Amino acid sequence: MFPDQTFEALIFDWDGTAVPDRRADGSGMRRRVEALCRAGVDVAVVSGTHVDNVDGQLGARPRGPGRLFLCLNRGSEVFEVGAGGPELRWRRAASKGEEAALTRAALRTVAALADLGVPAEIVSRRLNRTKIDLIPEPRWSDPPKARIGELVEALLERLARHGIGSLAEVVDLARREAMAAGVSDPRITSDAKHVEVGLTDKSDSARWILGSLLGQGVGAGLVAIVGDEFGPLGGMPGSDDLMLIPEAERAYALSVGVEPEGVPSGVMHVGGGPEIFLAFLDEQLLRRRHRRVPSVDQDPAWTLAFEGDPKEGRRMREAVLTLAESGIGTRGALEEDGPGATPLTLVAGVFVDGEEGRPRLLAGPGWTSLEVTARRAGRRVLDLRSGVLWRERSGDGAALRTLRFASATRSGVMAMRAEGRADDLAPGEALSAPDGVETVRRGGSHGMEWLRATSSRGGGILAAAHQAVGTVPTGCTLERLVAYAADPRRVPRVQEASGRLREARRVGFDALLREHREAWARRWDDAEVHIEGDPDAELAVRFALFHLMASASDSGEAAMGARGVTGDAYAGHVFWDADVYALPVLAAVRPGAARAMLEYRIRRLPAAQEMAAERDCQGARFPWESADDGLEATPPWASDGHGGLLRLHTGERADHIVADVAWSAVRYAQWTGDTGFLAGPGRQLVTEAARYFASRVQFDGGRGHLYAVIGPDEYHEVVDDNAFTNVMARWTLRTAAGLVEADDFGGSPKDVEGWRHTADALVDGFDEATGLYEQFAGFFGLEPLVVSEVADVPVAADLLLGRDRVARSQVLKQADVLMLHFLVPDEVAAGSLVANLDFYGPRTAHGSSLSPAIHAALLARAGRPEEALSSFRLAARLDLDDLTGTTAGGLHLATMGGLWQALVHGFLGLCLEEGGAHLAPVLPEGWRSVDVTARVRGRRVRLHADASGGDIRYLDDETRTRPHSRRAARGREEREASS
Amino acid sequence: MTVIIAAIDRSSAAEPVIRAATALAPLFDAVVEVVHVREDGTGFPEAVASAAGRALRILDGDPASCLVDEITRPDVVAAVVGARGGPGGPRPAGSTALVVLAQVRKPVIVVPPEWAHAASFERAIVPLDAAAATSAAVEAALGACARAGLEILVVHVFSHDTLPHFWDRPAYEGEEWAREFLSRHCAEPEAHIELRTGAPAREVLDLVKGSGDLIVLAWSQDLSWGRAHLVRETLADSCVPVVFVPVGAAHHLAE
Repeated sequence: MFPDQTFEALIFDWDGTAVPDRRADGSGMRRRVEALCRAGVDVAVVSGTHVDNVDGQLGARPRGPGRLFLCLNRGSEVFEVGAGGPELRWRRAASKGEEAALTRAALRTVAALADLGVPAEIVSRRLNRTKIDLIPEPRWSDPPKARIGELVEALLERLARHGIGSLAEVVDLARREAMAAGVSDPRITSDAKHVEVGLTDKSDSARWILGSLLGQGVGAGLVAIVGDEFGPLGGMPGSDDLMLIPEAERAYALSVGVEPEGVPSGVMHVGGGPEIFLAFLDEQLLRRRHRRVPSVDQDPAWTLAFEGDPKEGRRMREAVLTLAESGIGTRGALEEDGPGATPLTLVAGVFVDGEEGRPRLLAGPGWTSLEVTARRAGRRVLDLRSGVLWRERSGDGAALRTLRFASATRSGVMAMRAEGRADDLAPGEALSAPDGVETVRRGGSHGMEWLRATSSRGGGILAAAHQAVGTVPTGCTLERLVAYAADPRRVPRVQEASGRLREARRVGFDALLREHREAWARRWDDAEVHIEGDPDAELAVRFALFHLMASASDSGEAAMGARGVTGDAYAGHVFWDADVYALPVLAAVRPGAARAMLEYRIRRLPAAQEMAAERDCQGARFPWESADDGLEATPPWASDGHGGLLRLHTGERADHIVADVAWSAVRYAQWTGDTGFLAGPGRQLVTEAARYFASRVQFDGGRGHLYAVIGPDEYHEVVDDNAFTNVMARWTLRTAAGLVEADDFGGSPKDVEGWRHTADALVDGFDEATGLYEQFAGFFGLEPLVVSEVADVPVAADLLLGRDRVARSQVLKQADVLMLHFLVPDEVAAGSLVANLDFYGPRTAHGSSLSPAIHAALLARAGRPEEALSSFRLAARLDLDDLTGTTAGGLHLATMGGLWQALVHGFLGLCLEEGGAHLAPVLPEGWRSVDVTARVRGRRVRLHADASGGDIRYLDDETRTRPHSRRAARGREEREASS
Repeated sequence: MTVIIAAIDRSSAAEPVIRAATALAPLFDAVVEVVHVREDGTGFPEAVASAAGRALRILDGDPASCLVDEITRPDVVAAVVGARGGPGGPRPAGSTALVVLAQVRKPVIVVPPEWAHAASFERAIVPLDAAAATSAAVEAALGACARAGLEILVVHVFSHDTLPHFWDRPAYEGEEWAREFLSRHCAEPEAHIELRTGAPAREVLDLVKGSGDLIVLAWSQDLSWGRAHLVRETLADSCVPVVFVPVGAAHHLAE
């Protein structure tokens, strides 16, 4: 009779649903409501009456963690009930004019009915509404709900005698009279005996409570709405139907009423009145006691769903479905693992010696393995909103349901529940030894087991787990709690994990999940994205933010590898992907994580200074590819595609990494307003970079040069005066000089003078006549090959044409000169974007996954939103469609960071200035509006753009900035006028 | 009892054909049957068979048709033929092999006359094109090779369809792309892979290092104009035996 689902929130009508009438004993309801709240369920009563009536009858005094709300007076009030009784949370306050209009509306309605021969009486004036009795006869003075059918018949007879065909006609009459009386948005409701004219109705209650639940991370799909009057009465929609607002689309709607005219589509009708409703509540409580697997809100705007488990795409899905938190990630492999799966758990920054001693990420103990018969994936859903991975498969001999999450509130804690038929599911060992790890120890005591993988480089990953198995009528249940402890430099002790596990057990799975959902809801408050008109793009950006926010710890240091902790490709090594692509996003949505990423670089300054010294340079030379020790980790060789080896020079020559790190430090400070950072621990990231470039630059006839470097475009190696490197070096020198001049810290006046001199002397390849930057000395003399002559982009042109050919041509791997317009637009010649876009755009093969998002941003800035959207979509679908063929090895975090930056700096045109910010939006035609939430200088802001312009709203104090354009000003005026 | 047919002619490929059949028989769990379609006397083939310690069965009729009929017998699981006749023979080099390959829905191993290896194979080179049908066709063969202790080297030569759109960093991209390719297309856990760019036949043949190599090639049996370049070029230029496995046919291989 009832759905096979455990709800996180219950919204129900009072009279006729929870109790037969207002005189009935409410003690049974009280016990159940308090038990539900104890179990963590949020409960909301929705009624037209007032608080004394409902609380007087219910009398519940819950102590949490679930909340009890009374949404009363037909949508005009919300009370939250705690141990001390009801407290008002919200009230719709009518103005004097509205009060007067309501009175006039009621009088006019009664008069109009009288004119038609229908006697009616105003019987009460409640908060924000008046109530008119349509059948003021003694025998119908207080009819019970069970006689609703008779009441409707009697009413319709009465109306028909006076030529009125239906209750709907009466409601329409009341609406007309109300509007004529000056009520602008009258809410007319009827329970057959009465018509109420008001300012609010149950839809307002539903909207309020669903909004509150969403703020706690509970989507509508986790909510049950129960009533007794969903179906029409006398041609009018039932009063409970008002609760089924569009936001409640995925909620489960249940009617326990008589419903003489049936129920609307989507409402489950079981009848039976309050007795059945109590049985429903009892069933929900039983599900909680039995530790049934929670459900997930399958909101297509927030979820990725996969059916089945085809071999092709299996490992790719594991990466996409990774659950991570604070740099500990577990791939979304099926619980039964199997051939072709790589169910890794990885910890950012914890490495082990790989081939030839090169560090790679250490595989940690696994925690998701179950013994399951009949390998069949079923349906898996990753809910980005609440950070859970849910799975369900059904069918004879194969029924299984699981849900798992990596706690967003308790570092290193993971949790899973599973349920299935007794012959389909067995728990097996809670922890599984990782493949390929030699040093693994296992132990356990007092119901806890632990497993530790240690690294040849000194660190390790330890997991401690407890699992409980239960029996239910449908089979068996399993609950597994796991706590991880990891350290890159020492072997973690069992106590470090066991302590966290003990605490997690004390709190319990349901409470862990509740606080996890709430934490993600708060995260999304700071990182919301809404693209009206393009749900695919919106979901892709949310997907990107989800993984970026989960990939880095927000304390200590965070080593964000190219693929994060979603896979072991790229060995977990850190590239400029982290500094330039990912960090700026986290500075805006999770500043602590951005700071931790910078801490990673700060702690490796000494190693970078050594590397500079080895090159006979001063300052710091960060490695192009970085692992744990801060030394260069770039392998010297790679396969050339013809059975031979290719010498790699990026480790030695990609000097722009030094400027990239400095840039990321400054960008962090700009976004967060963390003025102490650049004045303190972050200063050296800039000044040591300046020292490096100052000592690296060679002078020739008064002009400064950086010889033998590699820029972002790796098709052309070991070139001179790469424009990107030189201009970024110039920017670094000038920025360092400015910082030191401002507070006399981190350098001397002589340093400042030298840096400015070197900066001014550096050649940048700019030709004023053409407006072009030459990518490097001699670039314009190469074969002028345009990519479209050989292939459609994106294309790995080095594989297509061979490395020698691309090196002799003007084909680029990715944005190089154009990266300057993206990162340091004030450092390049004003107005030079279009010329360089037109020149380098057609020459860019986008053979790097880092490239499309940058072009999207710049094309938008150049006023070409449709072209920009095309590049944007490429970046958006890169992992979701596995465009690289390597998503199986991990998600491309740089692309994800670039995607968000393209949206914010490209399409919205956000520019941060001293003390302020402004937008210059350029939206593609299909994007009706864009809203992005972020934190700027510690304040929560909403960036908004639509066809009329853009504006920035500071959400903390509701202050609105001046809009950027006159069009936006008009838009604001229109909005102000309508409120 | 299952049979592997060794079809010998009067060319220098005859002896290598018998040797190859002998080396491959354990993979197919089959016994070797040596046959010859009579043309101008049988002295040479009889001598070759006798030297190999094998009985010889003589067939009469059109060589290609006779061989196809023989190989189609239900007890026959595979056939071994010579790649090409010697100069001066009555048919174009490789023509009989081509007809047999195109018509028989069973593995056919084509042996070049210059193949000089002795007892057993050491390594199977397996070109895969990323089509599911190709991978499925060779799956049983690869399993048999692995059980027989052969090293398995998968090779993928990027085509227009499979050339990656993105190739971020060569040191890692190739490694990960290759790993995923193997995961999707080769069930053998110990298999290695080489990624190549260029002309497929040249790249595949370039990988052959010694006479202990065997090439396992799935194909569609479509010899129409512009198709089966790899098949034609391999037939013409391989110096080691090539196992041609028709796509979509059920194959018997040693469990």
